[in-house]
Amino acid sequence: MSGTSAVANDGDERTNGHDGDRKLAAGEGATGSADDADDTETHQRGVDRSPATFSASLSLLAGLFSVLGSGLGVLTAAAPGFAGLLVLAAGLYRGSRRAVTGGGVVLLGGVVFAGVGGGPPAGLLLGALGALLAWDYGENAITMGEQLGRAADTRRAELFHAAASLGVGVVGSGVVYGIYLGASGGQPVTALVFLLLAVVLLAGVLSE
Amino acid sequence: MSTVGSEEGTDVDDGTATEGRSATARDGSDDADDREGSMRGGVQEGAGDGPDEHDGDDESPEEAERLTVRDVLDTDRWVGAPAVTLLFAGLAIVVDRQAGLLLAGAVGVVFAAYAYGSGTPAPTLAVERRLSDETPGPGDDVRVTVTVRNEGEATLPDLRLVDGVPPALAVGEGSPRHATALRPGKRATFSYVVPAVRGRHEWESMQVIVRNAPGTREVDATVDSAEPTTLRCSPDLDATGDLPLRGLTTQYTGRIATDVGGPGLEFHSTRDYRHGDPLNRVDWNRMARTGELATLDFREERAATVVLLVDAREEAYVAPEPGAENAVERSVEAAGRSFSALLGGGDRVGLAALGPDELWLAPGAGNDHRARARDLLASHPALSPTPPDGRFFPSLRLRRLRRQLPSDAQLIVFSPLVDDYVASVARRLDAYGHLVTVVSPDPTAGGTPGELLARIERRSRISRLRRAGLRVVDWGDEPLATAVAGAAGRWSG
Amino acid sequence: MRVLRGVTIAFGVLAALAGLASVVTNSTFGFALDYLFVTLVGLFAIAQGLRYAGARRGADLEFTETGDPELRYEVPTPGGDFDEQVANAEGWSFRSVRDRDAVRDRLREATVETLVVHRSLDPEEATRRVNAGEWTDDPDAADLLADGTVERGARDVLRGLFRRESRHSHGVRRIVAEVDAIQRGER
Repeated sequence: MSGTSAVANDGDERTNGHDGDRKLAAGEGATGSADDADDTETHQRGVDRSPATFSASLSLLAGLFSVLGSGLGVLTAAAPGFAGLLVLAAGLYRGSRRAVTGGGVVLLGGVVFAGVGGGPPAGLLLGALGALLAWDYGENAITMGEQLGRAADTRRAELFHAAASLGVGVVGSGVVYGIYLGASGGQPVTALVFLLLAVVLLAGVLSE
Repeated sequence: MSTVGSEEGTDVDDGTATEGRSATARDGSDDADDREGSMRGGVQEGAGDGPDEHDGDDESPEEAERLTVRDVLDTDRWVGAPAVTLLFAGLAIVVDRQAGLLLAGAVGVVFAAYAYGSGTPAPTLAVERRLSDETPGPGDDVRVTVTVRNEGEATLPDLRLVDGVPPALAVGEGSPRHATALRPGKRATFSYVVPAVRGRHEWESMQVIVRNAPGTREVDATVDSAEPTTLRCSPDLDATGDLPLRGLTTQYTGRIATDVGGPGLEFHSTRDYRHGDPLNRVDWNRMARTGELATLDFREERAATVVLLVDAREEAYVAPEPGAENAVERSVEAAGRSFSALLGGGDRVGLAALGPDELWLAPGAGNDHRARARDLLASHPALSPTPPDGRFFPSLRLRRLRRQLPSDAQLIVFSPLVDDYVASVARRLDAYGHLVTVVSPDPTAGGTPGELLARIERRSRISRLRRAGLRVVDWGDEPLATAVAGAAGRWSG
Repeated sequence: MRVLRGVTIAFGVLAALAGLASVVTNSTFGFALDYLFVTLVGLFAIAQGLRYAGARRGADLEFTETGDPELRYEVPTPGGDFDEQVANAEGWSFRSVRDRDAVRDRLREATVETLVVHRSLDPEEATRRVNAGEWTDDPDAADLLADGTVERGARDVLRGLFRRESRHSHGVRRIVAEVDAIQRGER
């Protein structure tokens, strides 16, 4: 039993799950890098490594909330949102990180659409939070599936992960929303510029 | 899904999981404590205050030694989260000059900060594995219950476990994988079922993947249980009678029937009664007729000496399907059943293997001998259900075998006959004057051209052996008894 | 590098605090920001955002792989090596030619031995028939082991054109099937 780390380029798909195009190979199931687009894993007969169902369901639920948020004020914004939800669902079904990320991006696109159309701030916040959580849960479902498979009991870890992300997201957006409410009235463009500058500087440092 | 589920709920934070461990095991662990104290990610609570004083009821420190970190990864999961904030804010300014999008975008920074702010988990774990039966018979279901305890002081938010099931065992029910979150001192338990197969199987270390809450840092480690977990599954040598090897052994006894009178079955002669002759051999008919005491002599049957030779070279580890029972396992099964059938028939039976690991059990009889053979068949490395590592020196092994073989020994060779080597060995032993029978489990499949060719070549090999006067039992999917009976019919016919 | 990092963080935090203060007090601290400047800041943010999105696209997501301990270890199936050789035997590289020869030799040996046993031929005669392509009625099977070319009807040639399999692996398949049939007494 040897586990090695694999590198999956987010752009390049790891074949997984139901496409049935998997190569059966002798020996251990650990492969090295998954950089090649045509990488076929050496997982053998039997072990179902499709995404964990619990996290996948939570992901869809969060995606639904995102659509709800962006459709709250601007009904037409629900259309791209639903498209994102479909992409997300397809990604979860096929175990594709790329599709799940794509679904999240389209969900965010729905939020932008709603924002430009003048949607209420609370709805937009819900839309963005839902989209990020949908991606987070979806990616976790895929990784959990690849590492442990469907047959394992992974519920508790998934629940913990989901709850932690939800807690962080809710508290974070609560604080942001609180500040927004406190500053209701004018639109201090100065504040915006300062905050933006802060984000650019900090994000640049933190993501190194 | 039969896993018991993670029960963090049981508020046991002491050593109940491992109670009953012997003092010697503790001593060993204490040594390990000194050597590898720095390996531990956890905190050394109570390690200094002499674990010798509280014997066996609290062993948190030394349990934790068994964790080895192999790799720590940045998963880069949340890379790009600030892009959400920047793009939303930029669009908010450039396109609509409203606060809504700016607000929504802030979520990206929240998650980026969450990802950045979470450190690397430092797992300290104790693993205990329990088997429902450590010495099952072949085919018995054994339930493996695994308990993992968080011995550290921090909560492990995402703990993914893959148990090291021995390579020759397959999991029948449940899964040897589990994921949970564990607070300090809490335990999680899961279980799975493995059907036992012959051999000595030792569990490998458990793979542990520990992630922080946002999943950005991942620790890949292995943990061993305090004591090695071993399953020993011996073939059942007591059940005799279902293998009609007698068809084979009458030939043997027929061949070595002696001209010496004595106890036996077939009438040989009569002679005058001598003091001490057993009463059941007194010729009572003559006594009635003439009044003289006479003793019947029967043709004495000397027991045959049979050596069972198992082909256990790496080449013999083949099977019609990748995970199926391989030819060596089938050979050993057949050897075990032949052993008990022959022993039950009064023959002297020995055991040997052709392979890198040497195995030789000189022919013998009796219950002790049977027990010895059972032991060897169960757990001798030469007959392991997984292929050997060592190098095999064919001519050396054969020369050795010839020296060991009693000159009158007959041989039953168990081999899948997938290459010419064993066929040539059988013919050479036959040429040296041993009576050789080959029992050959068929490992070929007929799917691809290559598989069909292998089957063709094996058939040719068998027919070549038969033409050379050797007896071959070609054992396919049918029960061994049927195959032997079929082959015996061919010999007598 | 570390100093620069610290300074950047300090500036970032300062900017964040200033922004928050500006929000809460609803004042501009005397900065007069005109429309063009603010738009430029917005465009800058978008550019930065795209940069991050690009970083995301190129990110190598790493995670630990696990083995399949619940499955039995795998042992090979007899003949797998031959299938590999047949698969490698296409083309004209040194290795393919060598594999093609090995495949041919092994097939020839099996065929001759089968003919000797099941057709009661002596080895010379069996070899002659194989070389001449006379041992079977199947031209595809006969052709691969024959010295010269084997006569085949127009229909066989036509069928060969529409076959997906290469001519070589088709021949191998036909030979093996034919020899198997002979051994089982079906031909």
